[in-house]
Amino acid sequence: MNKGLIKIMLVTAGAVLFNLVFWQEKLALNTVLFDGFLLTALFFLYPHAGQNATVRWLLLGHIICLTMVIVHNTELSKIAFAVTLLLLAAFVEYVHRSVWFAGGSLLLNILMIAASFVEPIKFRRGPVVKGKVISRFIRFAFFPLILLAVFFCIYLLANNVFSDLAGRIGAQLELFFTRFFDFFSWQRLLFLLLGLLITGAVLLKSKIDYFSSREARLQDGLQRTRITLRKRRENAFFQLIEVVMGRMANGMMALKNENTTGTISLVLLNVLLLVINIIDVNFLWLNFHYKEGEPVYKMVHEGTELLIVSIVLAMAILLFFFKGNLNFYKRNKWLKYGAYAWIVQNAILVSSVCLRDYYYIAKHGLAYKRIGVLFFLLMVLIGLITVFVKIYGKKTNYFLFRINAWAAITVLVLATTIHWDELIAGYNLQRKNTVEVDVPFLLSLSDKALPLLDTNIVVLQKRQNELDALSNNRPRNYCDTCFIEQLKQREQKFVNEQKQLSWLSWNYADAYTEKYFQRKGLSTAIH
Amino acid sequence: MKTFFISLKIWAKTVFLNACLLGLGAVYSKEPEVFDTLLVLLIGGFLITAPLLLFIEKLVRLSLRMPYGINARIALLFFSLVILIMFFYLFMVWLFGDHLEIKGILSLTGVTSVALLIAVLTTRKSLIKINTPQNELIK
Repeated sequence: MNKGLIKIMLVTAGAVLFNLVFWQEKLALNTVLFDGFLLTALFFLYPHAGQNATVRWLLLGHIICLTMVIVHNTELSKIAFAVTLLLLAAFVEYVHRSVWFAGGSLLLNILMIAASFVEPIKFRRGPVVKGKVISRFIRFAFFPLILLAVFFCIYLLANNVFSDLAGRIGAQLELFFTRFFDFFSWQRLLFLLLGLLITGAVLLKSKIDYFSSREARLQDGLQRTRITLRKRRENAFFQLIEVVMGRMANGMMALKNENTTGTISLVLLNVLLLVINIIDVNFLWLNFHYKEGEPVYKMVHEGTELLIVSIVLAMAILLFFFKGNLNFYKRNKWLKYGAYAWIVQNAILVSSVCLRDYYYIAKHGLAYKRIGVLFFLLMVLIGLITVFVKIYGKKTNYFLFRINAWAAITVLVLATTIHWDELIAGYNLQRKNTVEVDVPFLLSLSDKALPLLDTNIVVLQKRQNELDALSNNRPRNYCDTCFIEQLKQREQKFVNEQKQLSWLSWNYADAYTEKYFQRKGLSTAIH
Repeated sequence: MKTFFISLKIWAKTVFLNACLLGLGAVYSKEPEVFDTLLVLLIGGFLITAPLLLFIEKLVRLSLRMPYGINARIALLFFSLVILIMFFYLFMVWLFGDHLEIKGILSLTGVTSVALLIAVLTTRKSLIKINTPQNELIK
């Protein structure tokens, strides 16, 4: 059979399977069924991709994410599952080394989906008599039908008996369509289209290989190239530099001047950063105390955001200086030392930001953003290391962005292996005597945290009493501190939700919570 | 210029058919001012969606340049125009969010997509003609 037609059949089958397993269910065991189908179809359509080492590693990462969808069922595991699946499809279908370019190819897959779907269908060519008859029929019927509709409307409004008759026919038609759409709803049709879109994006390769051919021209090692002044002047940024530097930006000494400017800039920036780092080491590392009356969040939020911006900006500056032939300039020793020193100093700054975050966590406990900052700092640290490798090994920006993107994917996959909500709840409740327990936040965590909250109901009650005592004299419209009541409502909601779901939505996290409540006698057998 | 006329055809047909389909819907729901509704939809539709012609022309031009067969290109054009319609209605929701219901907007998108499908299918001949090189036409 024609491979194109097989593709269409597989996409249609995938859309139907998507509709059957995901309709009014959550992403859980059904994901294994759908993913199994997609992966089988993908490797059947592109059998040579299995030999590629990148594809194998990505497949491993994807399987880890799939397992975590079943085990933890967190939003993060679902996002990582979708990301790795789409990337896997791009790496299977195209020749890529970089995640960025693979993402571009995948975007093309999505944009070209309609064309890729229709392309393999062979329409009969030449004069088709039947088609012409239909076309003529439509053309002849067009104006009479419009006239009919117009006069129908006029008579409907003018004649009551005709209006009643039309109304009765309309009611019968409405009944017919209501019954029809009860069986097959519009929403389900749209859901089928969504399935078609997702399956098509994964299985149908677009005919445009713009990103893979572009990537084929790029390499990791930096090549020394001669760029003529005329060509350099086409660059708007160079024009700006020329305005500032004048004749020093071009001519025989341009590279030397660039080197001198870079060295001076890095020396000054290093001195400035050294002052900041000395202040941080003195106040944060050696003599830190929580000040009475001064909230810690002020120090962390205001400081962290700006410091992160400064570190990213620092990397951008280094990329600017080491973008081209300055890498090959013989007397760039001091520029390189300046860059290394700045990388080390920025790494110290990362540690200081990390320490700020630690102090905040120690005082107020774990939360999403505080964990997010830690992950961001990890990525920044990897970024700094790769910038060092780029300068030391004379690598291209392509290399830098490629390695960092893979690092981000690895971090994403590893991050799915932890149930963060459960960890946050466990950590904060375990340190209830040293950390201010933010109960409304804990109550907003996912269902897997409910057993932990239920076990620590005494802590919740204590906090409720404390807040009640504080707001005793103030008038209140609603009870915003009825934590026990809110917890019971969450538990009941969970039990009710579970009753609506079938075995397709089974996952370990929900099963664990459900078992806990069954033991407590809150719910009866659900599945 | 040819692509502009084709875009104009698709746009005009879609607006007209959309007004007709919505007018029929108004008759079905026994709205007293059917003709007013139809007229408002027709004139308002032409006026409000006129700037979209720029995008439609670009999309027609772009879809015809893709390395696919003519039917695939037409399918691509239809798909991209449906996305344009969705963005247009989303923009309307953003502008007059308080007065519009999401359910109504969804139905409207569905009806306009049907009108667009008819418009694209009835303009198929012109699209094929503009896609076929002159020497192939002579054969």
